[in-house]
Amino acid sequence: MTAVVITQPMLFPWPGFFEQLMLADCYIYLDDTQFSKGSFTNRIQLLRGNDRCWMTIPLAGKGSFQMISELTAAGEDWKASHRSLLRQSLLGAPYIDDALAIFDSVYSHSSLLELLIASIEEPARYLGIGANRTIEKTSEMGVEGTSWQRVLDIVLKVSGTRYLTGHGAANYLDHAAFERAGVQVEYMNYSRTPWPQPVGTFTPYVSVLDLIARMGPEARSCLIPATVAWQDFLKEETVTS
Amino acid sequence: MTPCRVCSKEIVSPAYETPAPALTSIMTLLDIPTRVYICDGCGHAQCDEIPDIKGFYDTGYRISLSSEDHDQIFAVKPDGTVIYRTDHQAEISRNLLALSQGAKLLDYGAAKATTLHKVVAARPDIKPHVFDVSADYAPAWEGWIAPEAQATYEAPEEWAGRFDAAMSHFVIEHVADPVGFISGIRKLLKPHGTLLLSMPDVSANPGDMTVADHVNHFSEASLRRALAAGGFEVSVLDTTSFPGAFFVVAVRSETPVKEEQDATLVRQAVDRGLEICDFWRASADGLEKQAANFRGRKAAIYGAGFYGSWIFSRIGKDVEVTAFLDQNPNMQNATHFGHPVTAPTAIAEDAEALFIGLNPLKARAAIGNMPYLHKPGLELVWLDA
Repeated sequence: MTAVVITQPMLFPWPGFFEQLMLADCYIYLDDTQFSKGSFTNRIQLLRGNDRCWMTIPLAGKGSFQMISELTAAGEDWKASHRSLLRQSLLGAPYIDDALAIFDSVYSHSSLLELLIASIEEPARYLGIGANRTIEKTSEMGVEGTSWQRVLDIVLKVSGTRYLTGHGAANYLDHAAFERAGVQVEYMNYSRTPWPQPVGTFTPYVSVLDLIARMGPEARSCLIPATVAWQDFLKEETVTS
Repeated sequence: MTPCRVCSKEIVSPAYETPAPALTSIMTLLDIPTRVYICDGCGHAQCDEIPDIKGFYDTGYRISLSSEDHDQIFAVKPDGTVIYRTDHQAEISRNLLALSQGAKLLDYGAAKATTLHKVVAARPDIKPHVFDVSADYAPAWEGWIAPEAQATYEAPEEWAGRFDAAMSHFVIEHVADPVGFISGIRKLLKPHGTLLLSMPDVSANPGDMTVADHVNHFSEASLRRALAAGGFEVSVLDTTSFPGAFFVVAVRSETPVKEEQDATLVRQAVDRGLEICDFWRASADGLEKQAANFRGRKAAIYGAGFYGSWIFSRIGKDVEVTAFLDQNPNMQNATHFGHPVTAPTAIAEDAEALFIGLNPLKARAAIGNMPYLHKPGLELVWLDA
């Protein structure tokens, strides 16, 4: 069984994403798709006091109508302000230096795409996730097409037999077609395991750097991956007519 | 004060009451209040009759007419085969009715008679008949049901005592006189003929309690009482084959049936009914407060099904609804109450609140798996908050 995960590059994603990554034998960056405003490609949430705030990379031309691989950042000032924002967010966390070291290493990349990919790879390395994973970029795979058919073709190209996805995919996948092609679709059931946060109600939807800064080498213990088969995911339950 | 439709005991006051609008099972709004009464004599729950009930079902009720292929996914088998609701209903019907060779089967309140059609496909020896209170479905019967086996508005007198079996799927919850409805079917059956009824089980499907055109919410106790009053002996009461629904098989009795009442079952039904009413009352109160909080501001509603529609009925006039979010691709790219239905990932950036219209038992787990719905400036509003 070869489990495949395909997602867009994202800036220091939330810990749930790393649960998905833990299950992947092959991880593929979808970098040749159009950038979607409001997505997690160039932004992530951080704790700020009792609230949360966005850490967002400003995009040249706001990223409109561009492939993710073609995105460029507007200026350089954001790197310093992000470091300051992150440091402020993590102040007092016992492993803040580990998180900032990862941040500095990632932010040393000049290419935005490489920076985004590193913002997944470096935390994954720290967490000891997937040293044996195959990593690919769709822009280099030569698989054409659109929508779910392309996703299926990409999975088949790497000999995948399980496709692990987040819940946003349910609205466009033809699950039966995956089944016929010998690929089982599974939806993530994120554990959302709490870790100690300084104030307010716990939220798991902040950057993995928050988890690393507060848990250090024990961070991985908060990652408990699980999936739900698509057959169970799609059941309806209405009896109203 | 209102009489119970099953046992006729007077019910002093409603257990739940909320002002107009009321939501119907076909997701339309009626300008009437919702009132739920619970009978402590037989465990039945009921709502006020909707205005012009005959006209509503004759010309206003349009279930499945808009789409040839409309059906709900009931389950998916491990090999990927999708089981649709009508297929499942047909299979349960065949199993529970155990029809003899060449039996005359009546689908009473048939609408498009999709379930009957599937029963006949599996059992071509069956002689299908249909009856409905609307003529709108007649085109769906053409070609596979003989004209003399079709009836609308009134069952023909010559049908009395004709049928080996009758089935009526998800109809009795709509009728103002359920005992009369059962008695009416009894007249059409042969002596010892079999009746299969299906209906929502409100105890397992609490959303049903506030559906305006579901004027009856049966419990096991009130269902047994109604069947006895209508002249039937219950042989099977199945609550597991179709989660959230009763499937009951009863045999026409040729002698009066004793209307015995199990006091424990009645007590359980009353307690559960009151518990469900408490939930909806608290939800309605909570939504009223949140509608005031977000008055004139932008908000989205998660779910274009029953719960989401009910939320809209409570907040739609106050907040500026940007969209309904729904995972079901069949509902996306359409409008619901005049608002677009979009994928959850497409939630508007400027929406300040997201009202969660999902079964409260599952809502938090479902929304918790969607990180894009958890962000600063977007308040999640839960029905059971």
